[in-house]
Amino acid sequence: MSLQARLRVERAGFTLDADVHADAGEVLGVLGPNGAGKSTLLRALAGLVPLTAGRVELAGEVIEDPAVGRRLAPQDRRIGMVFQDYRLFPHLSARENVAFGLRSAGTPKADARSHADSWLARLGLTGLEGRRPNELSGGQAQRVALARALSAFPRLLLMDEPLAALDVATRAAVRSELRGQLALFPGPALLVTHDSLDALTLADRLLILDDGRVIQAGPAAAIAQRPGSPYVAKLVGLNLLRGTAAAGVIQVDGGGLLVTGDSSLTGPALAVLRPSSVLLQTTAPHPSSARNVWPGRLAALETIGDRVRVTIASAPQLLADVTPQAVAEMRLSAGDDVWVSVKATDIDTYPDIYPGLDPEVDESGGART
Amino acid sequence: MTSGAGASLAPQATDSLTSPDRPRPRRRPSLLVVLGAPAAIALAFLLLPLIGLLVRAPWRGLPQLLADPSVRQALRLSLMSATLATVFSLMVGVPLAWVLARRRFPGRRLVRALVLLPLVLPPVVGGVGMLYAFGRRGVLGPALGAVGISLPFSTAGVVLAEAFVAMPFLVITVEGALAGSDQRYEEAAATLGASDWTTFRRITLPLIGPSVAAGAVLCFARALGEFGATITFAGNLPGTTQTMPLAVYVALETNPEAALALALVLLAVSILILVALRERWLRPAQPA
Repeated sequence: MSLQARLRVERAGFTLDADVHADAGEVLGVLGPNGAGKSTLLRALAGLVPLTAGRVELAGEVIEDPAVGRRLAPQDRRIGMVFQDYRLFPHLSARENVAFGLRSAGTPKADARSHADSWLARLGLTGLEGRRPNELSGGQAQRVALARALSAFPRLLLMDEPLAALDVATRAAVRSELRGQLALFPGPALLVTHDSLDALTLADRLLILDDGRVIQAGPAAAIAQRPGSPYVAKLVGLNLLRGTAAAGVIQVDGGGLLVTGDSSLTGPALAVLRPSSVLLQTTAPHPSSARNVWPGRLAALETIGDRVRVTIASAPQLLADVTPQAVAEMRLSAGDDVWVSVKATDIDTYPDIYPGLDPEVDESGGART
Repeated sequence: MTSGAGASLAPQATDSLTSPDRPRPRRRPSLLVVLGAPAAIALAFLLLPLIGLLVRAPWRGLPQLLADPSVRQALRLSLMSATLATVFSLMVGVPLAWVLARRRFPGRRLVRALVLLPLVLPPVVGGVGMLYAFGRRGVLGPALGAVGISLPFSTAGVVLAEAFVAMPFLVITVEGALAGSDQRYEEAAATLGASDWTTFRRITLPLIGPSVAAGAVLCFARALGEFGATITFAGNLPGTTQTMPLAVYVALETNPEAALALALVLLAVSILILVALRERWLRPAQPA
């Protein structure tokens, strides 16, 4: 029971062109900025938006292929969907909402209801069976929506920002709940999110979408370590510099040179620097072991937990993490001139192949040139 | 007597306009006079006929008048034909509203305008049109005659005439509800495996239920008061096609007291309808 899809949806001013693959039991996180086409991707899989071209194969069955005129209606796909706004039927109780899928499949009322009750119990909603959606809290409504989608025995589960509408406290609880339920779900699952924490804790693999195209795909940990786009780098809190590598030096786009020590890399390259490995000094450093030293101006300071994240306007622009103690001792404030230094060994460099051919995309049969 | 009632009513109406609701009591007296006086006239104008009806009603002889078999006959015929016209409108009008709200086809706007035409068409014109559609010499006359159906001057004709005039009220109400209703729920139902029909029955209809009910009540009210199309197409045969409005009109010539009694009954039914619709039409904040 796996999903293999090549999706092309053309609309006025927007084209989605993405290859999606997910194995049974796997959770694929779909990340991307607003308007990247994440929701369109889910809606196309669910059959709510027709494909212009492409092919969707689920559990060995071709459910849509415009080339041969094949298109299964949404109600015949057995694809469960959790909508961002839940869309619980307002005139039905939680129980009737969850029982709706089975009732539609012809299950007798009593059986569908007891099945619904057991699903609600599984999600810790016992006692709320008779409530209408407007009598449920956000977290409860989210769980009912999940129970409703799962109780219809879907072959594929689609979740569109399932946690986005929740407040921070509820979010953490529902996230771990969701994690448990996803582990039990036998089919492939797609989770659209713009929250890196959701993506990294819930997804096995990630698919990064931008402007309707897949710009990176692969295991979540690998993408978090070596982001292929500024969008992902920002999500996981890393400095990402793009440039051209030659003889162990990267000529950074937008100005600046970065000595990396990796002389094997040539051509378009990406360099990742942890903000914690960027050093700041208020005076020009004496000859030091750091190979990369350049002047800059402190643009902004922001406290994150027990660190202070500093944005430095320099060529190239960087984020640096320093301790509050260091900020106090160095009397740092916005507008100050500083010196930035980075050790070559703290820089991770890799070829810039994004957007374009990515090994992981290639593996899933979705190479695009 | 009539003018006296008007004089006593006008200041009262002005009071109710000024005292609790007016936010600035003395700032703009001129505007209040300019708009308040015509407003009082309008209110008096609308209320006076009702007052006249109530003042002149033969209250003492009322039970006797209403016990008259011909009155009961007209009332029964009116309620029955208006109910049947409403049922017929529901059966074909709700589907029509759905097609207009949910389907895209060429000429949809024209069709919509034609559906709404009976709202503004003089009912007599509708009645004449129906004669030439369903009458013996009408377009469908020969076909209907062949199967032994004659609609003009029959109770069925009354039902059709009423439905012709009243159905647009139902269609426009339900169409508005469908167009404004959220199709997101229908999408959700589809992802849960519900067929189009199941979705329509269990999601779409319940969600617009209040609007269907309001449209049906409105349709019933319009059918109950129908006069022009009915008398033109179905005639004025006591017991068969003489509905309450026709009976009132006829009685006015021969027996004004009976006309007043019948009018009171229609007024009572109208007030009942207004009460039934109060949630929807009498809440000032909600646009009708």
